[in-house]
Amino acid sequence: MSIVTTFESQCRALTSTSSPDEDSSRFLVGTLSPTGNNLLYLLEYKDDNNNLAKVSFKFPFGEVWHLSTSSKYPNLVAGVLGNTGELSVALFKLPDELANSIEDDYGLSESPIEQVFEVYTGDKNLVRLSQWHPEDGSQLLTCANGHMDIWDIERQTKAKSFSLLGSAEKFLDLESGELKPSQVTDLRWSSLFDCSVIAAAVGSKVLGIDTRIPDSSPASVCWLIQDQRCNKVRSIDFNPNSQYYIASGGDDCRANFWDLRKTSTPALNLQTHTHWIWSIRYNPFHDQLVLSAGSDSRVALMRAQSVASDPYGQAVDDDEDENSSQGDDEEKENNQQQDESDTANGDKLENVVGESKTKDKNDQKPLTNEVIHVYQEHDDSVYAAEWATDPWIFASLGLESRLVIGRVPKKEKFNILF
Amino acid sequence: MEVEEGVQIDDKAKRMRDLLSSFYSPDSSSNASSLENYSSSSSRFATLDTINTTSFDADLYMNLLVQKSNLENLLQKHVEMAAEIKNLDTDLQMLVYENYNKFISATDTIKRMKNNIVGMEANMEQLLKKIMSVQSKSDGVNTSLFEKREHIEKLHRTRNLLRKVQFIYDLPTRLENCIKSEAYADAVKFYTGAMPIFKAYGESSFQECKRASEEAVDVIIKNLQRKVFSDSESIQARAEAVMLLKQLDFPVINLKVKLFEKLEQFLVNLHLDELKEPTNASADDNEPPKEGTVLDSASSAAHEASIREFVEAVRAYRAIFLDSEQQLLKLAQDFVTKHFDATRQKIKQLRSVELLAILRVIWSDVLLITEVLPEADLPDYALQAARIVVKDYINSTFKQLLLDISDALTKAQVGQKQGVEEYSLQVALEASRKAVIQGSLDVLQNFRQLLDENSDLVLKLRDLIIDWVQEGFQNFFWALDDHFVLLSGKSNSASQNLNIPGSIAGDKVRAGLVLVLAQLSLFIEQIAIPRITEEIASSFSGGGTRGFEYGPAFVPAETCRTFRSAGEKFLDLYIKMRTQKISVVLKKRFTAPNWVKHKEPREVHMFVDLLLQELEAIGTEVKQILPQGLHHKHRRTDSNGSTTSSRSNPYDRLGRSNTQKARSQLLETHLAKLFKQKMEIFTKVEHTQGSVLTTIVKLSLKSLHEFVRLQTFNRSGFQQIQLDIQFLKTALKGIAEDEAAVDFLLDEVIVATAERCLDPIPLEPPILDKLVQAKLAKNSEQSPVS
Repeated sequence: MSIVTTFESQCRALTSTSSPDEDSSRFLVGTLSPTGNNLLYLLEYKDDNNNLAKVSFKFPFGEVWHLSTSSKYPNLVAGVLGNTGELSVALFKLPDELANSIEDDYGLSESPIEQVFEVYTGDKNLVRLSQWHPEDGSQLLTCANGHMDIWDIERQTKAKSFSLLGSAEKFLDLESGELKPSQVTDLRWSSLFDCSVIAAAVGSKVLGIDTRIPDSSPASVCWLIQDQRCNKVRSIDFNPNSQYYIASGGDDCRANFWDLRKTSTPALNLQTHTHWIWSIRYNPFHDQLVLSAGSDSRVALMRAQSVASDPYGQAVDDDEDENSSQGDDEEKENNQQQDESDTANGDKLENVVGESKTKDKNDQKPLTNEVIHVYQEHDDSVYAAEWATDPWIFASLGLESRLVIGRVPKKEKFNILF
Repeated sequence: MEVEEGVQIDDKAKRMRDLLSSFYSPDSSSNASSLENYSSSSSRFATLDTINTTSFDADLYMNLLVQKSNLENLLQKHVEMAAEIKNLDTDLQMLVYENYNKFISATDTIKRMKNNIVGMEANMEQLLKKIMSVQSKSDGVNTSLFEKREHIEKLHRTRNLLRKVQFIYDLPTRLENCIKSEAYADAVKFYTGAMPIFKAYGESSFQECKRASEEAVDVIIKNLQRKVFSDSESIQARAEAVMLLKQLDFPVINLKVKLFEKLEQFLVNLHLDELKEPTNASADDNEPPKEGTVLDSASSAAHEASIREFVEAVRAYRAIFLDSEQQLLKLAQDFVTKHFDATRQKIKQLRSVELLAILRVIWSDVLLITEVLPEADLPDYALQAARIVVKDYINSTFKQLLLDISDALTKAQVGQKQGVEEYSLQVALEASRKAVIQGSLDVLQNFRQLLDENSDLVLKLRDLIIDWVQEGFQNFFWALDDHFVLLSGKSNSASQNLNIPGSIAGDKVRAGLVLVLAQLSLFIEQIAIPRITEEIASSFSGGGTRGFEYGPAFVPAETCRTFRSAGEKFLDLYIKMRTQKISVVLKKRFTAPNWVKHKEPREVHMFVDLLLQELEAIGTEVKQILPQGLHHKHRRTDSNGSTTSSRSNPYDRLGRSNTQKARSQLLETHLAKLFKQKMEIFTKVEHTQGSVLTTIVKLSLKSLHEFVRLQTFNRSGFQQIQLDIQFLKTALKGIAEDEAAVDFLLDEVIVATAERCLDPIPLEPPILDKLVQAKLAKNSEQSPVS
């Protein structure tokens, strides 16, 4: 079912990137080899023929800890690199030939990857992350030595910087002093709130930081989540559609969902892993779907219905379907569209629609919160799992250098769509 | 033909009837006219039927007949008609004869009457004369006697008046006499008889009399009042007294109120008695039981006596004031309510024996009162109240049990905090276990006494009690579960808050508490609940006043499930708390130094000691509480064989990879992994020492693994890790159960370090051994000192 590809050395960096072809999904993977000979892989997955094409590029700039892309500049990549223990952030330009879709396995491409400019140079305390501004693709966020820095890509200068040491310190000092703000484990930039909130995971806490403050002032903390059960939060993600919810995963092996209006206890938690969670990601379109990956080499797909942007949408829709014929009409339209586009799947689809209809009649209860599926196809810790641009496809990357393309189960998909 | 014959017969009969009717009813004109109308209108269509009407036209009929019939018919008609005529003639003759006869007899009667009436008039005149003479004579007598009669009547009236006056003058003395002889009823009768006169002439002629008699009446009223209030008088006497007072226009309501107050006062006194009882009862515990029961019985006898008195009083009151039922009902209900209120207040200190005693007393009281006041429906009322009390009692008992258990848990915690006892976790576990099982059994025992009681009151509640007990147990276990979660949650948040240096001991205790909770949950699931279920089944089956749709109140299977999952949850929590603590140690170790510029390893790093210390602490905790687990030994020997082969792997591999490129080394690692059986690192945790410890070790090593992967090492850093791990390998052998997995994880750490190393050249085995031995020697040197 799922498509697997392997790389020549260990990898931790995975990011989803936009593809010139709408039917395909692209992922970027960087290898992690301290002794050099690193490569950058570009993978293109085509849903219609279930094909995964792979191109690799030589990457002589160091081992890749993290990659991030912006939808505004599809061929720019921000990477966090390591060179004999020193970390740096740099911006790279992918070869122009990638503007076309990849037909087949190219193998090693001779086209070079160019470094645009080095954003942040050699520092051991650099957080192994960089974040693009969710809408304005010309800003990049990094964090090092307790400072949050926002970089202007076009001018290639630091636009803004504020310190976690000043204001956030008083929140963090509660911890026995061993947790320094430099030990930020994850950063996320919310696409809501007018892109003015950044979340930073520090130890067992998650801080919400307002970016609208003037340059080089202490960071203003707008909310604080204290996870009582977790020593270290390793990954966070904002709900892309609802401003109140944030997901976190960490050393307590649970996926926690927090309501920012009441941060004392998680609004929901799901026991998904047996070791640390390294990555937790909301589906950018259907925020009830959440993906988590952990060092127990598992990837879990969850449904967090009660903390989704439309928690009871399913039930309401059902009612509407029954009351008015509008819903049915839409459904038929959808059916027709689907039929036109994909006649082969037509029969199957109708079956499923029939199923969902009978289900509507049988039970009206809304979908519950649960782990939909646990994927155990990796042999080693999974440090990254990302959703593709296609809302039903995701990729997970294990340290054993294996990338697995996964798909949301059909049943779940139809549950959401209908 | 036949039809016609039928018609003819009908016609004949009809004609007969018409003839007769015309004879008897002279007023046949209307009938005739209608018939005339009929015949005139239908003359043209005349039929043969018209023969019977008055407007019969013989010619028309003849014509019609001739037209319609043939000869034969005509002849026949002729014969018929002749017969009919003959018949009619005889009928006519008969009628004439009869009437004539009647006429003759009437003439005879008239003749006789004339003869008899001739002599009557003379007699009548004679009679009139005689009556006239009688009347005149009687008038004469009347007038001659009139005067005398008038006189007599006057005399008589005077005499009556005089007698009345005499009576009035005599009234005071008579009243006095009555008072002396206590004939109050007569006195009152006299006085009320004299009242109208006093009212009319009291101000003038009989002033003195009135005053004197009023004084006497006052005395009477007083006496009567006294009589009403005195209990020694018979009820009838008192009732009579009240009646008399009423006749004297004395305000009886006041009396009633007063008497009622007296009753109420009586009740209050009773309750004082009631309140004394529990003190007696509680004194029982200290004193020898025999004396206690004596005391008890004495007090209950006293109580019964006083209740009897009260009942008598109520009876009297009721007899005296007939319309007082409502008040009394209320009073009686108040009495019961107060009774139960008092009981409820004491409910916490009561055992069921005492509760039963009290209920029994109340019930007997209620029965006594019911004798007097059947309308009050007190048994029902008492049943309602008793229901509430018993329910409260059951609930409070369970609450107490819950409190006891949590006391047992927390007390141990406090004790341990002070570091008084080494094995306090065990003590806590034992204590709480005992609290659970013994407490529950005691509670059941208690309730069974309730059921054994065969007083009416309790018998009626029997089914309800059974339900309540079952329900109570169910709720109790839910509450216990909640309480456990609360305890663990509290401990967790507390441990976070108390993270300041120096409170590590407290932190440890709390983790221990979680472990105790885990074990206790298991105990409840496996032993306590089956036992309790058995007990309930043996003595609390039945019930069933609860509707079937709700199912049985106590669902052991579900409760078991709850506690099983709770047990697992707590165990997980314990492991999580412990591993997180260890991971703090590990994090310190790996984030602090600059691994790229690490110096050559000289000895095993001290973090290993810290790690082992933590594990040891966990070990002691776990050993106190968890069972050893049966397959402990077996597993160990089993895994030994497999590990020796796998253990040698990484060394060979690393040794050989010395000169090879990192890439091929990685490939080899993959190959090695492929052929090695995939290790199940994250297995299910069991409630055994070994399982828990192994899980913690495994999780800690996995964390170590992850920490290593975040660093970049130089050769010396790698060698340091290699050395530490080598030492751990021997040290962990004694601690963890699943040796294969532990070895695998340790190897993984070394491999991961090599992968993250810029120049992975391992230490020579001799040097490694030497350093490890040095460390071991140092440890063994230290241990006797410490």
